[in-house]
Order: sequence, then structure tokens, then C-alpha cells
Amino acid sequence: MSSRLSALPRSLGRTNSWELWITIGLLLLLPMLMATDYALHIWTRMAIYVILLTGLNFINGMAGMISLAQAGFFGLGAYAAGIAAVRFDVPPVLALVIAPVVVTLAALLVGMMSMRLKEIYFKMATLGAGFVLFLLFGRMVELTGGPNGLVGIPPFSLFGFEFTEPIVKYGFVALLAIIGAIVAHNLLVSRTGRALRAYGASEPAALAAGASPFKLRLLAFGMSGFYAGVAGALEAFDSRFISPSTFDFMMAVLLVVALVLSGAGRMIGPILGALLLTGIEVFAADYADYEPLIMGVIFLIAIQLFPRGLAGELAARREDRRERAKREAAEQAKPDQEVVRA
Amino acid sequence: MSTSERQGLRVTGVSKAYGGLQVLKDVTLRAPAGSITAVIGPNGAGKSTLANVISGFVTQDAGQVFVNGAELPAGKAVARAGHRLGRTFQNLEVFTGMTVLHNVAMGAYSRQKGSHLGDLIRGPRTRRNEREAEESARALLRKFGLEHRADSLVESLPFGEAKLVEMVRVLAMEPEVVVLDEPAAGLPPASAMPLAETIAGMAQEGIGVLLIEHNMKLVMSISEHVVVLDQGRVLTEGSPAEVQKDPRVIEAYLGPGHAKSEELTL
Ligand SMILES: Nc1ncnc2c1ncn2[C@@H]1O[C@H](COP(=O)(O)OP(=O)(O)OP(=O)(O)O)[C@@H](O)[C@H]1O
Ligand SMILES: [Mg+2]
Repeated sequence: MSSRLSALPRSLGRTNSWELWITIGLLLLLPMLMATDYALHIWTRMAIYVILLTGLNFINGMAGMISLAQAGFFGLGAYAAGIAAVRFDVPPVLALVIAPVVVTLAALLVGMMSMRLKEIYFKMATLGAGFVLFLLFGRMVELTGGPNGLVGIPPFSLFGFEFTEPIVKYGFVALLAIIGAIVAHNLLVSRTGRALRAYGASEPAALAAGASPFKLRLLAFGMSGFYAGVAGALEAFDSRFISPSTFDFMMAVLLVVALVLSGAGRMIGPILGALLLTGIEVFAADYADYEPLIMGVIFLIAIQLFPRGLAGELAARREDRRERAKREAAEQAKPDQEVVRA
Repeated sequence: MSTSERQGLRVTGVSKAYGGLQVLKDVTLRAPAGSITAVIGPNGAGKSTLANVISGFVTQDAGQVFVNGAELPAGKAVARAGHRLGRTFQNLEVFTGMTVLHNVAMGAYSRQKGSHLGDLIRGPRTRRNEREAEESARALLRKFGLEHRADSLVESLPFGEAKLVEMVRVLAMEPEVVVLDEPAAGLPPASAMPLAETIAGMAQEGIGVLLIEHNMKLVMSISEHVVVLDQGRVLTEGSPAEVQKDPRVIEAYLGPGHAKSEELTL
């Protein structure tokens, strides 16, 4: 196995480059497959999800922690952009900058407060943060429009040119998704990304190698927030209407499940997860009555598959491996230790 | 670097208690650059705790740790790499899910400068760092006969090779001082010789090696100086030959009553 791998170009050895190319390829090819207005609308939603999941992948994939805050961050991005545009007449282009800044700051704050917590408490804290945001979207009626949602969001525009043509809309979102994927890939194969991953694999060894977990994890949080902010703003300009229910608990769980099922920590995870999410959305729209049922089934599958969560699962396996190594070590060490003899 | 700067490791008056249990008591020792200093002692003597204090994983109650004359901040494990102090662990600690090459590269990264932002945009410095880290990692793997494993996931390696990868990762840090916590633990007796060569090679390159080990044959064959730890105190120290004959050492290992008639034979 190893000899075959070392025949590959060296820098490609297990760096997931081909997964990046698939992501880019799909984003370019899908609209060619089907380019009706409706299809382009669907592809646009999918590309927004690619950005959102690429962001989530920094925490849930690379850092190996399960954050349930991403739906809340997504919403915060959408509301930040929407409110800026509707209530303060901020040009969309500026709103698209403001939203990720706001969400990055919020994500850094949530990260600082939660990342030292152990698994289950971390999940609860991030879930809590997402829920607080969800409540705010519904309660701050003056700003957000409350449960009825925020209406009258303008389409995205640049230098007076409005992005209303479906193909233009898609092109813009897909471009950002591709840039986002490239940046994520850069990180994944850099020393920063490796350190983040290493920290999840062996905390003591990563510390001894000088990798600061606090800085690395904060970075992961900041990145996930930034991507959620961009995705949220794009969502606001795409839908032109946002309401709290888009960013609720179900969405929080759905995002995590989609990423886990399609490959957390891998470059290909976000695009596959986004396809899954869009598929569910389209399906659920056709069978609106069954939506709670579909969601329920997905939730059940997720719990069945990962009763301990992904991080728990990995930790347990690592523990098993360590136990095995220790046992072997103990067995083999016996004859050695008896060299001290009378 | 002048010899006065390359003093290696110095530990002075280190004490540590857990609750009522005094695990280390006024431990003073040196591991000079370019030589191997061994720490031996029965189970629970405090050897790993000493390694943890030196490497910043445990904060001592009293005492100091110096590398080349510079005092290391207590309890700051993450800062040790910057002081060129590397360590291995009694229980194998490698980065599962990563290739052997990238495991070793993690050591090389520790001596590089560069920003996270630069990594995001894959700037020229990131590329240079990446190339340098991979090249030096590959060179080390070649030196230790692990080159053919470079692109394998580290968890697919046999235990002995994985332990070697851990050591090579530490060497990639280009350390001044290395603390090895029982490198022979879990290895079959046949691996002891190559391991001894590896450790001796570190000292030859000028590294100050502190070798914590149970395998007496290994300790006695390569150490210049042996420190015996018992119940957290330095019981005695000296050359391997001196320590081996010391009745107190025999008693600490084998219990009272053996001291008169016997000797640690190896
Ligand atoms: N975190 C801790 N809390 C409480 N007691 C501890 C802790 N770490 C170590 N000890 C105790 O300190 C003593 C020394 O432990 P240490 O692991 O340093 O011994 P050791 O010499 O490395 O032993 P071994 O040869 O078995 O590896 C033991 O009695 C151990 O139970
Ligand atoms: Mg020990």
C-alpha cells in the first residue's frame, strides 16, 4: 500500500487534493446539467450550503469537535446582512462584508467560552448559543420583524447592477463557494490545519510540538463564523425574505448530520453534505406534510449512527487503540523488566 | 554556540506533591549536552512526573528547570518547543489519522515561523515552510530506515516503528534537550540494540539526553551518568558501574535483605 502511494506526486500523498477538484468540478458542472430557472435556484441554495458546511468543517471536521451553533451563526449572518440592508439602507455589497465580520466576532466569543469544555458540555454550550440566537431572531421584533420574518431585502447588487438573473446569482455564489473551498483546502494541508488535526489526535504530543490548542481552536471557530456569515448574507439576498424558523434546532442538527454522513474533516464532505441537504429540501417541499416525519427519521439515523457523537466515536476508537497498544506493551515488556535480577 | 551556552538540561530542587503524596522531593540533576543521563527507579518512583515537570505538563511546587542556562516557565508545555526541548511519552503518543511524514513534519513545524493567515492563502512563506518541513522529515525518515513508510497512516505501523516515528518527530524539532520516557517499553528485546544506537546517535549530535528507562541493560550500556530515583528522592547517582554495585539501589529495587549478598547483574 505504502509503496503505491509513494509513487504519487509527493505533495499529493493523502492531502485530499482530488476532493477539492471534485468540489470545484461539481460546482461548475451542475448548472450545465440542468439550467432552468428553478434548477438554478436549487443549485444556488446548494452552493450556499457548501459555504456553510465548509465553515462547519473547520470545527466539526478538522478540530474534531461537534459544534451545534452553525445554524445560529448562519441566521446571524442572514439577519446582519438583511437588517443592514433593510433598516439602515446599507448597500448589499457592504452588508456582505458586515455580516461575516459580525458572525466571526460572535463565533470567537462562543468559542472562547465553550472550547475548553468536555465533549457533551461543548455540544450543549454550542447548542445553547445557537438557541439564544434563534430566540433573538424571533424576539427583537423592531429589528428582525419577529416571527413573521424580515421582508423587503433587496437583491444583491454591485455597482448598480442587480444580481436577479438566476444564472448570475448562481455564478456569484458558486464563485464564493469555490474560493471558500480553496482557502479551506489551503488550511487543511498547511501546518495550521495539520496542527489542528494533530491536536485532536494526541493532545500531549501536539502540545509538546509547540502547537497552541487555544489559538488553533479559536481560529477554527473564527473561520466557521466567517463562512456562516457569508452564507447567511447570501441566503438573505437570495431569498429576499428570512424568518427565524430557517435557523432553528432542526437546522442545527441537520447541518451536523449532513456533514458527518458525507465526511467530516474531508474536503469532499461539504459538497456531498450540501447535495444531501438540498435533496432533502426539495423532497420536503414536495411532501410538505411529511416534513416532520422526514426530519424525525434523519435525526433517528444520526443518533443511531453516532450515539456518542463523532468526536466521541473517534475518541473511543483512539482509546481502544491505545488500550490495545498498552496491553501489547505490557505483555512484551515483561521479559525486559526482569533483567533486574538477583 | 559556545560550550557555556550548550549546558543542556539542569533541574534544581524540584518538588511536587499530589495531595498528601510527595511524588518528587528536592530533585536536582543535570543532563549535559552531548551525553546520556539515565534516570532509573522502581515503579512509582516519580520518573514520569519528573519528565512532566521538565516538559511543562505538570507544574512543580518548588524548583526550576533550565535549558542551556535559560529557565523554563513552569507548567507551560506548549512553550517547550521554543526552548528546543522535546520529549516522548511512556504511552505511545502519535497523530493517528495522519501519515508518518506529516507526523514527523509536526516536529519540524515547531521551529518554523509563519502566520495562520499566510497558511490560508498559501503564501510564499507557507510554501517554503511546507517544503522545508517535508524535506527535513523525509531526510530523517530515510536516516532511520522509515522512508518506505512515509505515506502510510501512522496507525498502520507496527508498535516498534510507531515508537520510532515518535522519536523521529522529536528529532525533527532539532532539540537541544530530549527527555525519553521509557523508550524501550513494549519493544521486543531484539529491538533494544537499534534503539540504543538511535539514542547514542542523539548524544553524538550534541543533544542532552535524559533517558528514563526500566531496561537496565539498555541503561547500563549507553548512559554516561545514572541517577536513581526512589520515592521521589535522588537515592544516589554515579557511573553505571558505581550505581550497579550500590547496595541502596539493589535494596530499592529488590527490597531489604538482598543488599549484602547480591548485586544487580546485567
Ligand atoms: N496526577 C496524579 N495525581 C495523583 N497522583 C499521581 C499523579 N501522577 C502520578 N501520581 C503518583 O505519583 C507517583 C509517581 O508516579 P510516576 O508516574 O511519576 O512514577 P514512575 O516512576 O514513572 O512509575 P512507572 O515506572 O510505573 O512509570 C505514583 O505513586 C503515582 O500514583
Ligand atoms: Mg513512568
